[in-house]
Amino acid sequence: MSCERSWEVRAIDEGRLAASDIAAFERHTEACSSCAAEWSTFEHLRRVSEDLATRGPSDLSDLELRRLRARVLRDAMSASSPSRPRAIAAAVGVVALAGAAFVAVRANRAVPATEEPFAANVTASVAAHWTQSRDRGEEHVVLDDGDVELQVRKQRPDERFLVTVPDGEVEVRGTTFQVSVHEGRTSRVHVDTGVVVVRVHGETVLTAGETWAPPGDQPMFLPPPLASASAAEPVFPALRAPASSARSAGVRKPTVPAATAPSGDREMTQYDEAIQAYRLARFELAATLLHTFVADHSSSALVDDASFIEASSLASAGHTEAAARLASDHLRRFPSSFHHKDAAILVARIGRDHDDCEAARAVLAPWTTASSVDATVTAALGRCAPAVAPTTVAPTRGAPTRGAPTRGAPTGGAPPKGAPGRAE
Amino acid sequence: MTARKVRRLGPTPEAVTDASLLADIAHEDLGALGVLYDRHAKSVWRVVQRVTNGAGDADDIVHATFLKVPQLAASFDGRPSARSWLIGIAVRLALRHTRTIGRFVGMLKRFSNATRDADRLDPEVLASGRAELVVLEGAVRRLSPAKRAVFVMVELEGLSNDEVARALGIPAATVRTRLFHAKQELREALGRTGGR
Repeated sequence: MSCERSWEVRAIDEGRLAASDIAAFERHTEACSSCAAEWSTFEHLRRVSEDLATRGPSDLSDLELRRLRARVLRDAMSASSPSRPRAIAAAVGVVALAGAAFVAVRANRAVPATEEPFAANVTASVAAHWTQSRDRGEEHVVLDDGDVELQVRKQRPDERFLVTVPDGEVEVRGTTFQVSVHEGRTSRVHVDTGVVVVRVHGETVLTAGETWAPPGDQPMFLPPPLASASAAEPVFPALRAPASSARSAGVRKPTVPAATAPSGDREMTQYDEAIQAYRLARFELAATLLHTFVADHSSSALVDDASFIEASSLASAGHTEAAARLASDHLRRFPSSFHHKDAAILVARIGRDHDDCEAARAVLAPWTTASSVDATVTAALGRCAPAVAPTTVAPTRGAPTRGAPTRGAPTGGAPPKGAPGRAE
Repeated sequence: MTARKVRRLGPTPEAVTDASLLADIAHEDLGALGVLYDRHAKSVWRVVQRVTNGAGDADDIVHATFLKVPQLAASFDGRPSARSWLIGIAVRLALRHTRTIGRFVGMLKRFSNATRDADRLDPEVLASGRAELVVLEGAVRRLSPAKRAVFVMVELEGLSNDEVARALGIPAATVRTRLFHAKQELREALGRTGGR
């Protein structure tokens, strides 16, 4: 038989009764078996629920958690990226500096209805000599001379997209990238998104943000390869940080005199000038400007980018020891940096060139434990790569010892954070 | 010129409050989003996994949840921890997700599996004293998604009724009612197996 006070069980469970009321109800249960039984089942459920709460579903592994993190940040980044017109404007700006007037020429122009539509939009300089053709799922852009930017839609399994250049070819699976050919030679391939395979003087895989230049060449507007970089390696560094990549030369703000500009404008002007110097391959100047920027604006949102690009500039200028020290310092100061992997690659390359394979492998350990190692990591490890044994290389959080870039890279700690899109 | 900000949080991001992180995220600071993810992703994933009965979509829902954060960050009410707020977003997405026909069919299949699992307690489980847990787990799976979400959030994740109400955008009285009915069903399930 139900007691008229049984409602108090629910009220207690929901926390609606005062302590004195609860005590009174407990005294009541000593005499009322119905309420005692009701109260007991609630208590029982509470105890088992507490037990269940501590035995949650098996958690995500750290690797799964990192992959998901990379996916979230990559997609969040692309969701807030500047629009394509801005990116194209930036590319146009760079070319304009070379003295080449650039106009947009859309390649998916009048195509007869019976023909297949092109897979790529091509934006080319007026001086460029190029053709585009498509036949039974295979599309060719033949570039004899000049600069083109291509936006290629994702390719189906039965499709191929090739850019034929005088000295080789570039194969694409769906991406946005730029190709430059001058005097019969490919001088530059830069990938904005996706992956391309460059088959010029060997085969090189480029991922988003990376730039290829021919070995031994000093192309205009591109950083030269590190003195130690092998012929097939892409030029380092690849600037793919959102902040810095959005500030290519073509989108500079009007210069404001430093003495009169508000501090925010001064910060931007100073930063843009440094990036401009970098883009113009004036690495000594870029390193100096960036060093000054970091000192003057230590709390700036751009310090992370500036510090990494300073290291890159030093490396490109041939000051490899200083570059490695700075890159090590960068890894230590900015554990969540978007440049974490590139800074680690810089340290590893210099370690490799000093025959310190142990340090090179240690600093890149977070990226070599995955089942597939990407081309940039493999290239950075070079001859050190065959000895990589993921199960024996201790993971590193990327904070090599300051002042000893090629030795004593620390071990232990979690893999790096903030490397969107690269962990997958 | 506009450019995305990637402000860094300094050497001790632990000291930064969730409210501060969300303010930074509202200004497109993706570094802050990474820190917020590190703090709460596992917790959010666990709740989603329970609410969806381990349907295998938890990763996608957590992904969608954190992608929503930059859009919603400006509306965050400044409470000290964003955990219940994030869980609320995730559970709403999960509930929407489970309402689709495909998910419903999948749930029916899992329901039948869960029922079989609950009815077939092996002697070892019984001997180890985990029988009640298994029964309760099966019974939680059989709750309706709405009741299950409330039960998981309040009883297993320790959120208050008011937090759940705010997170799900429903009246607190509805939370209490759903929780009461969920508990009734769970008590009956425990009682049927002679749990007490």
